[in-house]
Amino acid sequence: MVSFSETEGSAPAAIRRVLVLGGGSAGLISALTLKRLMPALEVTLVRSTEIGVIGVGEGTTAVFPAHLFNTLGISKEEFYQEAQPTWKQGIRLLWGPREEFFYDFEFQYDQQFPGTRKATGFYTAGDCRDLSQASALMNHGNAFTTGPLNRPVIKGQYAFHIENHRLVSCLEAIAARSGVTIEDDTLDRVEVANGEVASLHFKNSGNRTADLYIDASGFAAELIGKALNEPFKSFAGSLFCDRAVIAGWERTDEPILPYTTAETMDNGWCWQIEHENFINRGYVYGSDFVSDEDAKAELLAKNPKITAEPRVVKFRSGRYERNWVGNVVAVGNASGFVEPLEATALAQIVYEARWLVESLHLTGGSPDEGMKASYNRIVGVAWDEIRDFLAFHYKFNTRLSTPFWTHCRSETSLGNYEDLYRLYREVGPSPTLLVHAIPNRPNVYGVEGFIAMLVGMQVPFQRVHLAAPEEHMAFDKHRQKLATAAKGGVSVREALDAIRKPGWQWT
Amino acid sequence: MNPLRNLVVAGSGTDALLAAATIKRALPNLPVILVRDPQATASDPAGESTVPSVLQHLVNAVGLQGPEVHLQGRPVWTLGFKCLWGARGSFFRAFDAPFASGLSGFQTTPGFLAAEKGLDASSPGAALMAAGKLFPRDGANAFKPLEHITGLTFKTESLNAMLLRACRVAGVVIRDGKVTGFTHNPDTLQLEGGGSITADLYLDATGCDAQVSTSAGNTAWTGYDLPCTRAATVLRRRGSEPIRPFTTLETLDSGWRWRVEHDDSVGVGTAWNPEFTSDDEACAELVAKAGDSSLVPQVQTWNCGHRTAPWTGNIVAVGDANGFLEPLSSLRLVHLIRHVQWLIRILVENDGMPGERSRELYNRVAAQSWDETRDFHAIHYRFNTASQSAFWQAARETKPLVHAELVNLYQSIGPSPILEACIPAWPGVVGLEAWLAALLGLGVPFHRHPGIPANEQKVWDSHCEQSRQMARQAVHAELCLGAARNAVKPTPRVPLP
Repeated sequence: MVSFSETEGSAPAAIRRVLVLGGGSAGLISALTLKRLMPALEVTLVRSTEIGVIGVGEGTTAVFPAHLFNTLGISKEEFYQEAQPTWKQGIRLLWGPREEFFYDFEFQYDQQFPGTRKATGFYTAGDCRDLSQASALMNHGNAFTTGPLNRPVIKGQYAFHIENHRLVSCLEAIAARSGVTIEDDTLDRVEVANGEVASLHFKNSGNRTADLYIDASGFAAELIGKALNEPFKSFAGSLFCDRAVIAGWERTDEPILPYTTAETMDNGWCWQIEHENFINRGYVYGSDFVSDEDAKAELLAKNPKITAEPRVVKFRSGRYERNWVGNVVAVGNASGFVEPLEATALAQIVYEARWLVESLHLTGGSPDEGMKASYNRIVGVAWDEIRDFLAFHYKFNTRLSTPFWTHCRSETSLGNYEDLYRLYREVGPSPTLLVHAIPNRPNVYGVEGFIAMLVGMQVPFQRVHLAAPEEHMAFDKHRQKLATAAKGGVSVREALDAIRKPGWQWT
Repeated sequence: MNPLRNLVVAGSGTDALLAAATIKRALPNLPVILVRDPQATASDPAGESTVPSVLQHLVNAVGLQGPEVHLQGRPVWTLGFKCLWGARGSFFRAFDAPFASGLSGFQTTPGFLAAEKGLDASSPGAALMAAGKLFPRDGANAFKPLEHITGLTFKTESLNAMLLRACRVAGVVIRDGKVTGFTHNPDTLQLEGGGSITADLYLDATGCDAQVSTSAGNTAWTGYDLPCTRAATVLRRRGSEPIRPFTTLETLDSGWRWRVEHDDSVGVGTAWNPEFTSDDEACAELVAKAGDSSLVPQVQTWNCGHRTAPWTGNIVAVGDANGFLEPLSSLRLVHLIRHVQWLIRILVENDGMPGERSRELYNRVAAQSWDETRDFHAIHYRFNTASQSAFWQAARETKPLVHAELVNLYQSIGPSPILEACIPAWPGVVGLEAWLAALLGLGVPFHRHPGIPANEQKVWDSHCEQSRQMARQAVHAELCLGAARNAVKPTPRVPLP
């Protein structure tokens, strides 16, 4: 057969045993994904009880439920019972000149309403609400539309808020039931030979070897960083925050909001994550601009209900040059980190785990250098796209003129998306044209995410569309329809009650 | 800034005619003036070979009906390419290559099945080409015209005559005149005999000379390093030999030869590099092959590459004026159509007021398309092991540039649909299926060969056998052509004469 030559060097032996280092959400999701999609693999996860969890409340994107339920086939009953998530339809941004705007996981701007001549973004100079069902639901404080028998329609591009400890214990249980071996031990040292990991030495169980090592050791990056010395690419030119101060309070009479809130602060921004019984707040700031004490003070002043003593977390934004080096694949915080402004952490773990499984599938379990190079490019450009997407948030937020925000507006680099921004300045929110200014394939946000930010923050453009009155009427009519459905929807509280009723059935 | 009030298309050939008709049909309220030299003759006698999307464009965007295309344009259908090329020695590349799209009920993607067995019967088009037939029989006395999987091969004069009528029907103002230059302040197109025309936007569709752009000072060129830099073509009479249902590409020791089919003639061209053979030798070989010593080959110098900024100021270069690549994949008109479609899109989205960033976008889209086709041609050089001549040893050093990852990953994992992630510009002009068909056909080795379940192999074998069976009973090109040109009304079932 002409299409195969044995002389090109023999393929490496197929991977059978995988060792996952780290028991946080990154380790568990990768272990679970590998084991459920490739059941023949022997997957062992080693976690250390000596290492604390930095995990705070987690907000996800719509990728996460889709991965769990559709790709991995995890049962919804099980997951809802054990992880106790609440739902979000997106993010409410208190950001830019508008009082607020919403980012969702559907399409607000990469679409055109019937009876209008241009994409929706050309009609939203004044009011940009109710452009999609999800954004209308957020605008009206509801989680889902109402279906037959007044039940919530829990479908579409929804996402979760989950408390980290519940998520971890839920994933642990599911991983164990799925055949992942989970063991407690602490890494002592790593044996490296020929640029690969030869074995891991643990304090109690001694040496362990595997065909593939997943570095899910968080910021420590024990394998990819410390053992293999892969260079770290800092995002400091685009993202100026490096600390967060985190606190919260027990929910009393506050409604459970169907979104994560991101609010502009004097030296950064503050998240609000909606758990069923707890509200989690975190102020992300740049330590060059404000001291920990002053940041804490601003957080407390703006959130008088905070009870717990705020704690400070330090981080550095960036990613490793390559995430797959030899027999080590880094996932989650060990592969890179950005602040949780767009709830990207879990989505990126899912993305990495999916491409890893795909790479193993495509190569029959014997990934060669060509496959690893493609994996590294794809995961690398995904990290860079997230960096650039977050940069858009900083570059165009004109809400405050503190030294921090003035610095962000003048110094933030838009990275690979500079061209898209320049084109937008001229042609406006035209998905038809802007989609061809997207620098890399595959990509995560498409043109939708970037237009949502530019229009949401009212970044001006030249080709303003002077719409005829009929167009405005058609536009408003469509929005009205979405708003009506949203108003008749159910709140997060009502939806939680509904799924806990004995008669509830997941479809 | 004022919205565009009028547009002048300069050029006498296919580029200008197709561009003018398309723009006028898309923007009926915009006055479109075509300035052409009625005396101009087609530079390349071999003719114009196309891919299926061009027929779609002629019907959907130029507004031609099927019978008009066949009666005025008098094209011949082509199902793809027969390549005497690559590690297999020869292969068929059909336009309906199905290698990345899953077969229902199959775990294995068809590319992996075809790599092992049945490449020449992997699609109806491939099986028909292998059998030397054009369209499947439909009942006792008819055939099914599968026009969605065929390109058309035109003689340039008939194609241009058809497009000229389309321009008139669409309402393009046609002005006879020969372009002599372009002057600034105010921007004016100068014509022979002292006439001139001014407009808000000028389309340079004057072919490789790019007369308008170069007169206006836009000469920056991004060149591609490809092995062949010379070519010669002839058009010879067809004797009694059958019309082939494909375009032929053949490896020569000093370069390669292509052959396109017309009803009463055959266009033959040969490409070479003067470092490896002389022009005289190459031309002599071509004439000998054509078998008619009275033919005088027309020698062309190829300058593969593209204008660095084809849309500069208010002059937009399209087609050959925009860029040029050798006719190895019949994509010339696909590039032209892409230029025109993007121009229209940009004008519409900007309400007729395109700015500097929009021009950059046009230039980027055009460059990305050239890059993709350039790399697609590069793999034809890189992986052609059919000849050990000095020319081919050097030619095999040609490397894909922006598609290096695609080619590398193919060598790891084979014809997987996931390779789409390695095509940087979307949607491409070549497309993943054509990439895979070429890589498979060329016999480029890959590491990962998935085990094929026995039942899938069995179904695949019988699927191939069915295709071969269908092709054996199919109809020759001559019969199909005669029927299409005689039919008063086109119907899905065209009766045989």
